[in-house]
Amino acid sequence: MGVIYGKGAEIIGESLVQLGVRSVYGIPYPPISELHEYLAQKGVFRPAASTREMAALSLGLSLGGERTCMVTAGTDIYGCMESISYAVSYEVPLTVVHVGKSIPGFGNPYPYQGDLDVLRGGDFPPVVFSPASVEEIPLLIAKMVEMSERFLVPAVLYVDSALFNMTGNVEVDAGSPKGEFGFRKNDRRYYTTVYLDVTAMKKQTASLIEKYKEIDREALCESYMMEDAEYAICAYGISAYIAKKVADDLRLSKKKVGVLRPLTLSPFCSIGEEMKKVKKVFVVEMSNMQLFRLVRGQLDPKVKVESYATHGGLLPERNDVIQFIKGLI
Amino acid sequence: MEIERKTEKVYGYPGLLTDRKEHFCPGCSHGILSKVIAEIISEMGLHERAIGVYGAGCASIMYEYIGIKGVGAPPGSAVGIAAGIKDAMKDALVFAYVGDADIASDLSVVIGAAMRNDKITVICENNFNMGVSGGAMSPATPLGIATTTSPSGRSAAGQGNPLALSELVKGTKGVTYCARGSSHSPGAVRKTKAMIKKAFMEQIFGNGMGFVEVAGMCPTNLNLPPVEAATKVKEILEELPTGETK
Ligand code: SF4
Repeated sequence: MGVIYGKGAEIIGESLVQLGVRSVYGIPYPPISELHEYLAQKGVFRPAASTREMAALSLGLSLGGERTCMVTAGTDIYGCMESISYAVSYEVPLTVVHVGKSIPGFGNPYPYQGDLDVLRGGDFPPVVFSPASVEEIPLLIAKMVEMSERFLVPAVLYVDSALFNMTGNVEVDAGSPKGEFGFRKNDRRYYTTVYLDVTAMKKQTASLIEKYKEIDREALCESYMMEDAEYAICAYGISAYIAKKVADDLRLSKKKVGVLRPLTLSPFCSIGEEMKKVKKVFVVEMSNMQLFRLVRGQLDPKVKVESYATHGGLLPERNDVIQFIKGLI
Repeated sequence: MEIERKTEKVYGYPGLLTDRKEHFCPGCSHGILSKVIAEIISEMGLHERAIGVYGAGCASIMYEYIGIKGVGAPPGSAVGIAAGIKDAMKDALVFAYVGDADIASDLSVVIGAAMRNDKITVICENNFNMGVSGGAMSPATPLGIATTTSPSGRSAAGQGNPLALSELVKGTKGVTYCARGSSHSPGAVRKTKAMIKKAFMEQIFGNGMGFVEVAGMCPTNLNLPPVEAATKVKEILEELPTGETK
C-alpha cells in the first residue's frame, strides 16, 4: 500500500484490508458505521443480526483459521466479553476495534475513555492497545493482530471516537503474514472450554497464567520528555495527544513536564521506578478516574498524584489542563 | 452333510463413534442422535471435512463421542460459530447441534445465518425442557408439562405459549430445507436420519441452510422410564406435526 489520506475510521478499515481480513461481521450504528461503510466498499463487511451473533461469527472465523476483527462502540463491548473469554480458553486469536464513546447507557457518540476497567477486567483480559494519533493506527492494528496470533489470545485496539474521526496522511502497510491457528493448523480435533475434571481445569489455568506472564513482558510505554522531568502527565489515547501539547507549552514557560503514555493498557507497563523521580504525577483522562486508580495503585504512596478528568464527551481542553497543572506545581 | 454358514455383517457400531462411554442418561435422545450423525457422516464419506459445533447443554461435549472435528460453543452461539467456521472453510461440512432452550435463547444467530443465506446445517434436538439445568422449562415446553420452573405445569396464562421452532425458522428465505423428525421409535429415527442427510445435502449443493428439529426424550426430567418417555413424546407430537415443511 502506501500513504492514504483519511479519517481514523478509514485508516482502520484500510489497515484491516491490508492485513488480509476478508470478513468483518457487524451491526452499523454511530459512530462505527463509517468503518462498516468503508469495509462494505471493499467487499469485506458482512451484516450480523445482533452483537452476540457478530461475536459468535468472529469466533467461528478464528476457529476456522481466518483473520477477522469485531468492531464495537460503547456498551457493545459487554456483549463481546463472553467470546473474548471463550477465545482465551480455546486459545485462538480474536481481535476487536473498540471505539470509546460516552457512556453509561447509550450516552452520546462523543469521545470517552470509560471502558478501561472493563477491558482490563478478569483473570485473562485481552491485550489492549491504545493509539494516540491517527498515524499510529496501522502500526498498532498490525501489532494487535500479530500478538493475538502469536499468543493465541484476544486483543483490542481501544480508540476513542475523537481519533476515529480525526484525519491524517497515513502510511498503511500490509502487516504481518497470517499465522496458522484454529482448524487450519490441524493440531487439535476439537476446541472446548469445558473441563469437568478439576485437575485438568487447574492445569489449563496454570498454563494460561504462564502465558500471561510472558504477555506481561510485552507491555509498551512511550516516554516523552521524561529524561529531566520534574512533573509527569500520565495519559493514553487522545488524552495523551493533548498531554504532549500541554507538556510542550509548559516547557516553554520553563516547567519541566514530561508525559508517560502507555501504548498497551493491558498489560500495563511498570511505571513505579520512573515516577519516583518526579515531584508530582498528573493523570489526564476522560473517565471517572479509572486511569488514576490504576496509576495510583502502582506508585509509592509518597508520590503525589492528581486527577484531571473530563466526562460527557468533552475532550481535555489544552489551556484548562495547563492552568490546572500550573495551579498545583 | 456339512452345512456351510455364511454370515454377513449388516449392522455394527458406527466407526465414527469414539469408544468413550457416553454420559447421557438411559433412553436419552442425544445418544441416539450422536449415533445417527456419526452414521450419516460415515456413509457420506465426509468425516475428514465435517465439523460439529455443539450448543450449551447436555450435549455440549458431543465432540468427545463423534470422532470428527468439533467445538463446544458458548450458550446460544453454536449456529453463529458454525456460520463463521463455514465462512473460513468453505469446503467443510459444518453443522450446529443444539438443544431447544439453547437455540431459543438467541434466535438472532439463526436469523442472521438465514439472512445471509449461509450454507450450514442446524440439528435441533427438542426435548421440551432444559435438560442440563435439571429440568427447567424451555421456551418449547408444551402446555401442561410440569418442569422445575413450572411445577404446576406450563400454562398459557402463567408461562406463555410454547415456541414451535421449525415453524418459526421455516419462514426465512435462507432456510431452504426444514423438517421436524422424532426419535421416539426406530421408524421415526430412520425418517429423521433421511431428513438430516437431506439437510446436509442442502449445504453440500450450496443451496442454503438446512434445519432439522428432532423431538427427543429426556426421561430423567420427564420423570418417566425410557419407554414411557418415548410414548409421551409421541403424544406431544400430536400437536406438533412431523415431516418436511420446506
Ligand atoms: S438430563 Fe435429559 S437431556 Fe440431559 S442427558 Fe439426561 S436424559 Fe439426556
